[in-house]
Amino acid sequence: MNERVAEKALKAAEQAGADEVEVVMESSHDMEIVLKRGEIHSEKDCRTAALGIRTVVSNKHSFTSCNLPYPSIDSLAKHGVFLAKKNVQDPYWHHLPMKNTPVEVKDIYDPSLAHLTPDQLFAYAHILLSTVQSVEYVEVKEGHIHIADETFFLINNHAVSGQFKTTTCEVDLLCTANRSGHAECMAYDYFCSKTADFNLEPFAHAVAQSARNGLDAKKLPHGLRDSLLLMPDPVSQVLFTPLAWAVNAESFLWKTSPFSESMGDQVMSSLVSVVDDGTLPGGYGSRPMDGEGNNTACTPLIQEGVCTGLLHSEYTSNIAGCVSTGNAIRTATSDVTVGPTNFMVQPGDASLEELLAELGTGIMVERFSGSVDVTTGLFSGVCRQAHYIKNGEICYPVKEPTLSGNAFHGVRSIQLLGDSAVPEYQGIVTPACLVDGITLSP
Amino acid sequence: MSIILQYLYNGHLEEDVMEDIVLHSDAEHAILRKKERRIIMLIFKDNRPDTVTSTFGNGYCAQALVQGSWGFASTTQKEHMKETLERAEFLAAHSRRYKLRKIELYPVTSCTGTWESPGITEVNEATITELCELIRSCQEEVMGLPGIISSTININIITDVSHLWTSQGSSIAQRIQRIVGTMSMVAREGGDMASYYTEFGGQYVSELMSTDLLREKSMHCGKICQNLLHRSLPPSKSTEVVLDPTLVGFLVHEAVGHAAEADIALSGSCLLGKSGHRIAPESVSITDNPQYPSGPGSYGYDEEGVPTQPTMLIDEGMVSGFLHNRETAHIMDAVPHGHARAWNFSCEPVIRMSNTYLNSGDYTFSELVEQVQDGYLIAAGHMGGESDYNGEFTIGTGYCEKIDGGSLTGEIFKGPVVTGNAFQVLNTIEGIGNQDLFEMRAATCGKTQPAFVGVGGPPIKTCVTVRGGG
Repeated sequence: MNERVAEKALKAAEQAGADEVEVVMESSHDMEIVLKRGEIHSEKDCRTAALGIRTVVSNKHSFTSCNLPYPSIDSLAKHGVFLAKKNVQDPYWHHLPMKNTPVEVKDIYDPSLAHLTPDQLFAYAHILLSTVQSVEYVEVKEGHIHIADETFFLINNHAVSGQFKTTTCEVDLLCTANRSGHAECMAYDYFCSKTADFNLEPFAHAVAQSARNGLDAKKLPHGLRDSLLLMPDPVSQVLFTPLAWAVNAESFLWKTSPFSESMGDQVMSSLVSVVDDGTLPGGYGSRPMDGEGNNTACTPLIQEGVCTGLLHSEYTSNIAGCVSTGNAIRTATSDVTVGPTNFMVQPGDASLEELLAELGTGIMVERFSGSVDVTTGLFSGVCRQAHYIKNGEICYPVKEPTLSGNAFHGVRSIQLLGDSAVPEYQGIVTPACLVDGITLSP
Repeated sequence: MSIILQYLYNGHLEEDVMEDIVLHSDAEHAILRKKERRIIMLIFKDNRPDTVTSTFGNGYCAQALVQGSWGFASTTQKEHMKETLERAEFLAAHSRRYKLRKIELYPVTSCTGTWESPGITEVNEATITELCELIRSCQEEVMGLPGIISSTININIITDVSHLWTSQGSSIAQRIQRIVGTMSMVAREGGDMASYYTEFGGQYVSELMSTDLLREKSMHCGKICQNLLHRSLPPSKSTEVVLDPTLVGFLVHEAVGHAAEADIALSGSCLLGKSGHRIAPESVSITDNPQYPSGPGSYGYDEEGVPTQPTMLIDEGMVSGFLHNRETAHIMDAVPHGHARAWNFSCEPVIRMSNTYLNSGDYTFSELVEQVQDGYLIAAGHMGGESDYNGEFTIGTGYCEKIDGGSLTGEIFKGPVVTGNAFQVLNTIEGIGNQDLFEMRAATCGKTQPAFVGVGGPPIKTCVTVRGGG
């Protein structure tokens, strides 16, 4: 990555009349294998470089970007300044970050993942395919193995600068169980690692076994109480995705969060504590600094059910009169927004057996598919991979019952938390939980 | 330095260089693509500018078919184009031994052509200023509605200029301009909150700039959001419904369109082997049409250089056609109609829909409602639903209104999720709205990579399962 290009863009924007300038550069090398119908379908090798410029003139801001190389970085910088001048003033704008001290974050870059050969990637694909094939009636319907090697560089005209590298391996797998000539049930899971220190065999086996376990599903029995064991995927989707939005300073400050008047109040079960930790070793969203150069941090958001903190960028922290929490999210081709890094729900101490025993008789839900309104917390949809539990034992799979309720009521009714937290989508890391007050219907 | 690189550095026409590279490929078939994507993104939240973004995304990619195996590589550096094709050839040759099937392509004749969206607007700095003003004034108006506490309007003008060259000698140039927007509103009153979200778009940038379209859409969105305050979800049950055009569009897209994509059909969708079989009443015809006038998903040629044609997926109730790339067209012995699409230069083409819709019938809206004794009018479908390719679907909605004894009651509910089997839904259709009720909506489909698509149809009277409250 040629950092002089960024310096050139910064100077060009200043010369064109910008009060503040921030330049971001990113380069990436991505390799991906696509699996379909039990075999390797295709593979790709992509190399991309991009540059973005955030420009501020008299509290008016704009963002311009290009892929690199670009014919004239000077003209892009001037274009940004022109757009900023033509924009309307943002009455809440203060300034870009003024200083930074990037933190050290371990295990987010692994040279052996960065230098993975196509043959090693094909070997991963082979492990997935052969492991799934070893489970009776099950085959891979679709899957992806994606390896990314990325470099991020940032500079602004307040002398803030920084650079870091990350590697990521993401794997997703959709398996079907097919006993009668057509797919009777499916199972899906996702896996992510920042280093090459992983074993795909247990992951693939678990997805295949889950698909196999879905055969012979029966209707939801009548007369169940509204107590459910939600596994990490539905917990992250229906309960904590709305929570991540509610503690985002953008929604909090503009009163679209249900917690806007509740800082310091009990907003959920006292069993629940949540932090956002951008410094987590090996975490999916971990990095030494955020998208505008502020150092990442471990920020308490919910402590024993009490709302204690928010996710901030420089912009929102300046409005609120506090320090940024390092939650500015962006790429070189997109402007800054506020979001979680590793949004971590602290696990409890119940094993899966203890959760099942505490549930007694009821339903365990492994997957959810439906609609979640992050603003109001309302959700409704279909339980995938659900099982009927009797006396703490898994009895049989249940045919897709409806799950509905309100996330902000649901988090108040959490009865017990599992002892291990699992990374799910959008950086939410959560344990399973036993929850009341969510409606289940056939 | 190779002859090719000398060309580039000596300032030869890029087109000539690309053509030269692809024609000298050792692969059985090779494709080079160049895509320049210009995006203007304007987001205003609550009367303040969230972002005014202008991006220039240029890149190149190569696809090579070697010994019946595809390889794909991309770059942002045109000087690396030859090397990128070689990487694609390497991957294709290297992966051959891991693949069970040898790919063969449906033969097409090489062609040279151009295609352009109608009424392309030159988006310059003055246009951006004008649009910012328009969005702000719409937002001021909608924020004046009682109860509305937040409004976000997001408008993207996306102009794609793409070129494609194949080792067969095809050379295609296209310029496609789309507007894709979203609006979301939040209302709050007495401890209750409601939100409402809508998408819009198509190939009509000039129309958006010159009419009151945006103002009408934002006020409509704000009023619905207001009306959803203090409403609950409807009870869960299987029931008679009138589905509005967005829901019909999403239903057709998610449950029928995906099942008719040949790659999905070949992996066992419910439509495989059903060509010529009746699966719906005679009144039901479903079309995918990349040439739909100003459609959100319209284009002239696909990323394999195949000229587009409309495809009847369901013709008068019978399974009629599938959507193909050249690979699946060869397997299923069908003529490809140009459905291999790629989101950008770093994406491989995959089989995608374009503008998919249920053809109109002859019912008026009141005639549809009159047929429902105890049910709902369900409206404002959300993209992001899913289907398991056996026709089972799950689609989120914006709101619904109770229908009692053939009349709308004014009793509004927050939007439930609707589920069902698309073919049962089609089979229980008792009325299809007329052409005056037909709407085409913009959406972004997410099958492995995004794609701009149109989803549409008239309202219908049918039965679904409403998944609301207990």
